[in-house]
Amino acid sequence: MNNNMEVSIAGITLKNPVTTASGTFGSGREYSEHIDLNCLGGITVKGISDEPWKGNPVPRIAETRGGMLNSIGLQNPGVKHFIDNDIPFLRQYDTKIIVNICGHTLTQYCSVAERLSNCDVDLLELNISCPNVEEGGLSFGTKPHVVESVVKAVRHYAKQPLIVKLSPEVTDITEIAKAAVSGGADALSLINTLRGMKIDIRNRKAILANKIGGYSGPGIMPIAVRMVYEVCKAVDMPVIGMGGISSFEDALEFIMAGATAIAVGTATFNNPYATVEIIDGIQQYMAENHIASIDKIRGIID
Amino acid sequence: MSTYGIATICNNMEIVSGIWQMELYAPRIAAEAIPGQFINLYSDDNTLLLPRPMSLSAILSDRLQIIYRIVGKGTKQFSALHRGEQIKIMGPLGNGFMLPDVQKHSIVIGGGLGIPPLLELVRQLKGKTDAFLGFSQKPFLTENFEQLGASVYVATQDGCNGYRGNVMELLENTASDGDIIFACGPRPMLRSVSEWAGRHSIPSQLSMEERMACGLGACLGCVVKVQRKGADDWEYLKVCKDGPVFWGAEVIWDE
Repeated sequence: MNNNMEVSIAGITLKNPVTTASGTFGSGREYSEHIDLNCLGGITVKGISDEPWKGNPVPRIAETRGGMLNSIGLQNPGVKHFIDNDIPFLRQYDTKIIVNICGHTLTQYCSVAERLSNCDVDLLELNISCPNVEEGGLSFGTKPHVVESVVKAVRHYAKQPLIVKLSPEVTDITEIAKAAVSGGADALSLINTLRGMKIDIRNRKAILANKIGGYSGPGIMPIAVRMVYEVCKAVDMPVIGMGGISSFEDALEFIMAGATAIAVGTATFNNPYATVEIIDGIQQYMAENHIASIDKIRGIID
Repeated sequence: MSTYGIATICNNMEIVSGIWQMELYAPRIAAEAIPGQFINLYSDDNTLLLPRPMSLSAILSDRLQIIYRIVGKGTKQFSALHRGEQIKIMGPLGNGFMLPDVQKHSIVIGGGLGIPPLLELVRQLKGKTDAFLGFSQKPFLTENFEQLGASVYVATQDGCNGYRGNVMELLENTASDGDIIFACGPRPMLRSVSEWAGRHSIPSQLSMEERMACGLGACLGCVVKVQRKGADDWEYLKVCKDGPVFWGAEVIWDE
């Protein structure tokens, strides 16, 4: 049986629904020694800003029971470096390039989108949900009217379809999703991390230098599945679901909740093969259950 | 090029209270590894999400040796593994020490669990080696350094062996006229080493440590502040990928 794993996001066809979550996969290069990047539906690269960002002080990482906290602060070498080095590298592979863009100000977001407008990348992902930067990031992603105006402004400069990445740290995620749609989003991705904290009781100090960081891992998955379900019911827009996915079963939960594609993040740290194992698992599930196309199971939860 | 796969445990034993030595059959990694590089060990326990980075105390023809202290649940589980059991590993990771082309007089400075990677380094160094080894309590591996021909100087915090005090005081009190320094140990010790090296105009290579997630440069979790070349500015470099070994003169110690 020839089961079709292809999915489409804003007119861009991914060979399968499995992508990488921004910030967990570098620019793809780092994992290319271990997995065949051609297998992936898409690679979402680490957040890119207009100028290089230094990031936060260390420690930036804390392990929690079954999960982790990070406070990287979007350290990155800037959009010029990305264009010169990473696009040519990624284009050697048959996979879609999704560029996560970040900024401290609206002008900076727009500047990155503009710089990428004539570049050979497939999709942009607007990061208005990072909890680890003081300006920009989450502060742009929690009020509907701000979300709408940011999306509208960046939409003006972006030539590629624009995915808006949402934070779970809101009272009603559907309001934010609707605002992003009104602003001109072509797709949504959710969820980003939740703010968390871990204390070293022997040293009586927070482990992270910034004290608070973004919590990720399997513990956040039920929250993410619920939010993807709510958003898919509320807006007619492709959704990339993410948050704690570590197996094909997890990925299928998101698809049944309504996601068009999914992203694997923290699981890759635990298992460098997580993405490819999930692709194989979905394929096998489809074959065993005689599912001809992913569309047949998408959003089947009432 | 690093490899991810399964390694078989050849032996795993406690060498001194709370400190264990494990030997793993991992021919592909052993064939490529150089001193100062590390491996990731992956726990099967899914409450422990992140791999544990471990430096290599010996690189044999088809095996690797690590020395680790039981500090938490992960290392406790590793200590329960028996000969013949398997574990997922990735490596070799990081840059490793840059070995001099010409014969030098090396000063090797280690503190606690920073000492094991220096053992493989000394095995591969040519020329005279002075090894300054600092411990909080009972020393370990000192005989192994002696067997490799190094002149060994021991400092212990509790005074149970050798000089009572820290390894930097011992270094100050010992006439050593080496021309290159290699060091691994706690951050305050490495800072002292780089300052001492600066005062004596000796180049120093420091193997740094930081909390890591991926271990291969993707997440930017483990960084160290380093002076940018030719600029009055600094940048965060990745301990796992750009390091763990950095030139002491380039590291900025203000955080």
